[in-house]
Amino acid sequence: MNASPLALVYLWKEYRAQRTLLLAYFALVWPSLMLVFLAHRETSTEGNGGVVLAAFVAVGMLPAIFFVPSWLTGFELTAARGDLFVRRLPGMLAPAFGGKLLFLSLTSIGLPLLSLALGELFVWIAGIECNDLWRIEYDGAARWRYLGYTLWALAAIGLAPWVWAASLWMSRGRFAAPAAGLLCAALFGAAFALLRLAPGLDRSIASWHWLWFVWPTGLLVAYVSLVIGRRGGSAARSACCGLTTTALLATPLFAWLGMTVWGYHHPDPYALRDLHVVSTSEDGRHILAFGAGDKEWDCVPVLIDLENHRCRRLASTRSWTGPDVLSPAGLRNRKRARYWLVEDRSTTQLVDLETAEVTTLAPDEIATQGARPERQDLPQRLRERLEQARRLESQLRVPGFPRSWIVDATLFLEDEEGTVHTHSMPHSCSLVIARGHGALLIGPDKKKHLFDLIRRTLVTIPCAHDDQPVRGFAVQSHWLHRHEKRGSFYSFDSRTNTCTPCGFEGEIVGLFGDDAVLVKKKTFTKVHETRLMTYDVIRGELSNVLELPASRFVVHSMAPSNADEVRLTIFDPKEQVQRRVLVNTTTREVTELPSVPRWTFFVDDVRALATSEDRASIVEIDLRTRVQRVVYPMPGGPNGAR
Amino acid sequence: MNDVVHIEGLELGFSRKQRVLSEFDLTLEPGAVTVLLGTNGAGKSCLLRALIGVLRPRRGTVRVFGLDPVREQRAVLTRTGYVPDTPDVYPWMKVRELFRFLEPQYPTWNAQLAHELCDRLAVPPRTKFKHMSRGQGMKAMLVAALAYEPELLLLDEPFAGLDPVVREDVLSGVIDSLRAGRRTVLCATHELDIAARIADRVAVLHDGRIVAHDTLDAVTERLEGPAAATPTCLKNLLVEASA
Repeated sequence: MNASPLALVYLWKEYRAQRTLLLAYFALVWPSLMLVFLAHRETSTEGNGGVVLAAFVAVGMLPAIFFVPSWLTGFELTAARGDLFVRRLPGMLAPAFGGKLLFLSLTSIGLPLLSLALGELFVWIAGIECNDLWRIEYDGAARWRYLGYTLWALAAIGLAPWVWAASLWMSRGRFAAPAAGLLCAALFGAAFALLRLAPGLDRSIASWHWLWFVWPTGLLVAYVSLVIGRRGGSAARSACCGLTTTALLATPLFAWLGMTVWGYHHPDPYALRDLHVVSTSEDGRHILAFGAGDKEWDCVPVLIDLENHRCRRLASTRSWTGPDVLSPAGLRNRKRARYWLVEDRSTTQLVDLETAEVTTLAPDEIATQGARPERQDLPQRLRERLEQARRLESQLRVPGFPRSWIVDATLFLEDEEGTVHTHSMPHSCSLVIARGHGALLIGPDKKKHLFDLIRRTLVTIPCAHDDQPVRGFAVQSHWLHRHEKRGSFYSFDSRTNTCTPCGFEGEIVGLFGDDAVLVKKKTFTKVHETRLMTYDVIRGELSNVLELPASRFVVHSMAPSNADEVRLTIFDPKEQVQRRVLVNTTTREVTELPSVPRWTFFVDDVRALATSEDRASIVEIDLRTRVQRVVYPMPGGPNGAR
Repeated sequence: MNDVVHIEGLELGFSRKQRVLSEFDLTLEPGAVTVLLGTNGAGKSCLLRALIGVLRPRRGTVRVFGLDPVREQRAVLTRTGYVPDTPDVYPWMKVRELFRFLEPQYPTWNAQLAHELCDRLAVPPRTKFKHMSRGQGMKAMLVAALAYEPELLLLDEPFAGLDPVVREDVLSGVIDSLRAGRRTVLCATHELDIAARIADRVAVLHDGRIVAHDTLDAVTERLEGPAAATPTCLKNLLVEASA
């Protein structure tokens, strides 16, 4: 033993000190487990071998986590003089720490493995099936069923050094496990409380991986508590040193976490990720977008000016952004909305996308989210501008009236000459969703009604499928809907109260002139192929417009119902581009326009604006030359210097 | 600064209010056998623990071989032997195992000497400490403290509570070790006959301070005089011992 490193001497001492109790523990626990599992033997073909082995591993882990670490200190104490003997030896402190660490490591690994080996032997002798260890997935792959438990067990092993450290702080090493549990719970509780302030942050910083730091940090705290704390000191000095080290280790972690949470809610507007554009001004200069500091994080609303490359963060992640400034909600087309309301906890801002003007509204003007009452206290000039926007951006379509909108319980119809006609509605509504020549109304009582804008009456569809009444689509008082039993589309004539089959299945895209609807019809001859067709509700005829090979999503321009042309944007998943077509509603002539990238949000005659594939920048595409250039963020911020 | 032990202005205590030693000064010259006399609770054991770095001084300087026993504990402990008042070894340990445990920790460990001392003092090598009598345990502790031939030997009332035969064995072991070389010894006790048999000098500890530090005769003479500051009980004891 002369040549043995001192750590090995202390390893031997720990083994000699603890072996009796460990033997007594396993002599009690192992036979008990065997008896229990023999009594409750699973007779199915799958067996419960996995449960048996997991139980054996668990009982092997218990002493490694709870008993051995506290005994490392507790067994230094003798009845006569406490731990005076070991503290007066030259090999105390650093070499003793090494020996104890070796013993703790060996028991942490060895005891569960030893217990597992005995469990395997028991399972083999008792003839218990172990088919429940693996789970067969739908893809045929076999997956380890206890993966989650295994990871938790490995994380729990990380507690062992903390129990050891706590045993050095407590008088005679008592209550070390509960003390370590409380300390770790407090630290993890604080960390998770911070993480909860930022949903998704845990995924982006892979918080699970941080659990592995529990083991080395616990060892460092135990080292300081023993080697420095016990140098001429007692449990109180160990506690002082250990807790100071814990605080020193935790401070940078929590500072970093706090800064990350701050950055989460207040991301750098020139380094945004996960950009998605909500709306643009008519000329595409001003952009209202959402972006976040990381892909997994919640987004904040930002206002980007592409001319001077400035970006302004409007609110934090805990904000609400919507175009519904005046009641009723849902009336305006979000993609074309000029005015947007951004509500934070303390401020309400009105954003004018045409001028990039941001008006801060007084707190008493903040409407309650959800049930949004009509604002009565807006400045007169602002109210007039908002009412004008409501009129211009309304999505309601009535043949013969270029513009139509609703305010409270009144329907406003503006004819070609600009004369506005008003009609009373059955009741007031807080939310309006356009449905062709009809609308879905949701009143203050939250009840849903279909409203025929031509006949100006409420409509009830008798044979609609489940929730399809609210999805009904009106064309000239004919309400297209899915049949409750057949699933295919039927037309309900609200004038005669009759239902007739339309003869197609698919999706309604939007209005096509005054008498027809554009339909995306599935074809069963070729997989993943669809056809754009029109359905004339008066004649009950389907007509082909366009083949859409491998196309999935079609976006309608929401042009007025009597418009001459309908502009369609078709997403092509194969080419990852947006195809754009112009369909003449009279001649049905289809004009192909230059296609644009997948994430395009603005197109005019000469250029398109799109977010990049990684959603971190905005690019401008010249439609003639196809040359792309980044317009946001500019390197170094606006004008090259932030 | 060739003193083996040099203590100056030492203050020791368990809490801010409870002071054990205060403004304590002591110097031990090489080869001197000093007996620290004091009543129970005078702070003798605390002083010895401060010398081996187990207790951290609140104030003052402690130097053993010119080293700080707290900061340079290992260097101090390899040259210092310590015998407690009761065996403080793990109860599951055998004497043989204790020696195997201690041997790698002391570079000067003399296995031959340990064997001889065990034989001379009749220490059972295969017996666990929990099965030993107090006297056997104390003899084993003495052997363990002497086997690495320390330059400084600290004895914390090793003879207290022993029966006369065993007490004589232990004492003879100590006296033999004193003869073996120029070893400095500090022996804390309140037994004056021991002081009379082994001490070159006597230090009297009272109320946390050294009130007398000289040869036994000089201390006795001084304590009998009118300026004596020691309590009556200890004075009487000292007078009785010198008689």
